[in-house]
Amino acid sequence: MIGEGALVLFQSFTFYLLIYVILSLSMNLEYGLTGVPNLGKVLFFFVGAITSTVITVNVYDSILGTEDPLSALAAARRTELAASNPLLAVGVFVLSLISSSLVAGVLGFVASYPALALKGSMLSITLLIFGEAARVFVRTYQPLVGGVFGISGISNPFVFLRNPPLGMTLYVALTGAIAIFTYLLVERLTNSPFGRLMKAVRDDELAAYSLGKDVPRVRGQVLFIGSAIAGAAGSLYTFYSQSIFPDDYVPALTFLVLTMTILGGLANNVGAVVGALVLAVFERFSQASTLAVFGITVGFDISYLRYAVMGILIVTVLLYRPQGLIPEKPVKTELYDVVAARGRRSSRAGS
Amino acid sequence: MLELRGVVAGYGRLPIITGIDVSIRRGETVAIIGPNGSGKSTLAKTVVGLTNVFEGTIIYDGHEITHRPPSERVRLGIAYLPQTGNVFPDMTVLENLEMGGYSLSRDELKVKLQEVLEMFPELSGRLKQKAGTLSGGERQMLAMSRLLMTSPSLVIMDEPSAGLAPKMVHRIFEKVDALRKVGLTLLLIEQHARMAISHSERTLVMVGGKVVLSDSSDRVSGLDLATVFFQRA
Amino acid sequence: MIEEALGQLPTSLLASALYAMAAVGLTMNYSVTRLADFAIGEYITFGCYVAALLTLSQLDPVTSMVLAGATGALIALSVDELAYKRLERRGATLLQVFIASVGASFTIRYLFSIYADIEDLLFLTSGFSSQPVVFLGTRPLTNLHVLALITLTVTVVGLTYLILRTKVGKAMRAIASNRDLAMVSGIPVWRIRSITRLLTGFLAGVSGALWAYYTSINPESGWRMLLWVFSSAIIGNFTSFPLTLLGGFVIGSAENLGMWALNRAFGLETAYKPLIPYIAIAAVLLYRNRYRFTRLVEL
Ligand SMILES: Nc1ncnc2c1ncn2[C@@H]1O[C@H](COP(=O)(O)OP(=O)(O)O)[C@@H](O)[C@H]1O
Ligand SMILES: [Mg+2]
Repeated sequence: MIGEGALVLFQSFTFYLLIYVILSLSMNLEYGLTGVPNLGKVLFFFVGAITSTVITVNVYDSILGTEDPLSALAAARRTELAASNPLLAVGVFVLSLISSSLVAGVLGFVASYPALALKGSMLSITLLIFGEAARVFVRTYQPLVGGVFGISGISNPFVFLRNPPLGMTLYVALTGAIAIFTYLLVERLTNSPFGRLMKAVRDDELAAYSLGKDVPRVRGQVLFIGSAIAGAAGSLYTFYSQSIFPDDYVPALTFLVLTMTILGGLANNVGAVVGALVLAVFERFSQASTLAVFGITVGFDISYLRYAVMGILIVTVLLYRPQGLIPEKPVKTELYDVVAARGRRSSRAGS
Repeated sequence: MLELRGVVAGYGRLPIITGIDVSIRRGETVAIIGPNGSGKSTLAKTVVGLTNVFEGTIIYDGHEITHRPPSERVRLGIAYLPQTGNVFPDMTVLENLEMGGYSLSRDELKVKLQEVLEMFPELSGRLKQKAGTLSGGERQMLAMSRLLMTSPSLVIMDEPSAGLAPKMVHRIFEKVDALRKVGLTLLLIEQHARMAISHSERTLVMVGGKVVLSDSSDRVSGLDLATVFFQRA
Repeated sequence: MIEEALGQLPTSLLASALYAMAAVGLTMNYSVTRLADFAIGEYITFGCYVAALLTLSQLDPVTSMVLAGATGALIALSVDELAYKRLERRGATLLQVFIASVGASFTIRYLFSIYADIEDLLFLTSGFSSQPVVFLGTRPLTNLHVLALITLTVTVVGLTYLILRTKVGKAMRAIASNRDLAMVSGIPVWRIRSITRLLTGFLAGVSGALWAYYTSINPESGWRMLLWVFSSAIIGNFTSFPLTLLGGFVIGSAENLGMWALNRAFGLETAYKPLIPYIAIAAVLLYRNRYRFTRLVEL
């Protein structure tokens, strides 16, 4: 019995860690590499969750002919259908995952359009405002994902095993595989010519302009990729929690991810992972429910302390260790090597 | 009065001027010439504290000022006329001058204004006009007169005659002479190299972030400048 | 019909005045420091609490409001001294300072939340009692509306005088227009910055006080207002005072007058009320984006 409790705790910790890793990598791409702190990160995570919910619920309910998709009965019937039809469950999951990243990616590109003309801080504030707007809309507009009460019965693809602990273990492992894939993808992008372009936009917008680079477009492209990654994370999270609640998608999540990226070290994918790890440990173990397990209680809402620590971390890291735990490395591209070699030669010739 | 020893400075982490050794005596007028991009403006900004200094020391009037903020250097008597953006375009001529003499009391300001307008009578009729609507020449006059509001002892001017018609260029150099006459130490960066040489005691030639030649203006005026600029590069 | 529209007016005006006042402070701060200070929400929150607690202990609303402003000013200045200035002196980029302001905002808000939770102040209603002065249609125009409008008028007149006529105001304009030139002209840039911070914090605190007189407050009140304040400032491009004032009125009216109009015209459910200002800001940004290239270089 205790063993099972520990397993659940471990699974949940690992899963949150993986989601944070994915989100932190995408934030690093946008903020660390391109200089756009996407304070609307949660919006794209949310859009992924919504897309997956809409696809899953609609597919199952059209097969089942459900009248009232929001009811508990409908949720149970969806779960039963997924459990008895593994192919369908896997198919719906894959379709949802892919669509979620695409929809979030396109929205990242589109939603940022009005704000692309704005510089760093203005752009990120606008994205934050849009994120809150989306949440307010979704929690009000019932037909989408059931309004403020959300919707459940979004089974993970392993429900057919009819062994929840095993199914969840497999699902967490699958998420791990996707996190690793994301890491490799982002790492590859960082070291590509596009990675250099992103840094050029970040370091000197005007110079990038004068070199004929379309700065808003580069930003749009980066927001597409970053948002697609966040969308996939949103999809994974929905199938994990098997439900969606609009009020889970508040800006605090964005700020948590931002803190991870800053703590780990900007423009550095290993840093993003390390930051996610440190804060996942902190975030998961500073929940009232976790503390209660260890018999600790405090005289106030513990989440306040969590947020305060995030804020203090951001300010202290920026003041005393702006490069983060793991500093940025130079980009590895052929072009960089050529330029670096030429630089060395000319400085030798000059002296 | 001003001494730079082995100064390496630039923007961000990028050095632009490398190993500058310059010494300027009180009351002297020194012209700085050189091709575009040779670091003349960067040198001027380094003296007023608008660049990052990586190596070396700057000493002014016995004070080491290498890492002092610009406001302190102004208080010590350094005035600087930037190459671009040298007036506040949305403010009137009078307001521009007021800003130049920010630390003065109301009465001191009045006296100083009188004094400066005597030297630049062409501004007297335009005190209520926005600086942005002045002609190029008038704008430079305003910028130069603003310099005097802080009662400086060292004046650094970065291309005060750039982009002006020949007649206006002469007017500017007349003002330069007037400044020399009142005993100011002048550092004059110029594209009009010949003019600058003939209105100074000493000339520095900068190429590629270094001072490649420093000699009396009489001797430099005998040289073929094109050769100096490009052979030493 | 007209009466109904008039009935929307008092609340719209009140909200507009609050947003406009804080947004003008934010714009002023941005002009001088190039920082869109995220922690302004916290100066508002402190304004809310100080005003609420003082009126509860029987102090008159106007004095309480001024003290709320003073508290906001003090906090705005301290945050600058403890964090932003230090960062800038260490060579941090503007974006880093902005992110630091996000961190500062969280730090203040949630340390205060902990305190409020322990002291049982998480929800608080001020001691201000609202009394109708005249009736516009069915809704009353109360002494609160009058107070807000007078405060806004005083603010606008005072700031206009400050910026156009006084030496400090001129120095602010000079710094906003060319910081390097201001520095080499001998303008004490850091001192002017501190004065600006005090003013920004004061305006935020005062607008928080008015908010506390209007409705019940909690440690997140300022954060809730922050989005609207930023929206107003974005409409003003973070540079123009008249446009920022207009921005405050657009955002403030959108929620009430705008909702009422949309409800009338298209039968839009009032549940969507919180969404209206977002639509307003999106529309403004989309419109502005037609100038994307010039703007990008300017801002
Ligand atoms: N603000 C700046 N940031 C980065 N590089 C600069 C900046 N200003 C000038 N430079 C570079 O420094 C070099 C020297 O410029 P400058 O000192 O203006 O030369 P000059 O005044 O002799 O024409 C040039 O290569 C220029 O591109
Ligand atoms: Mg130059």
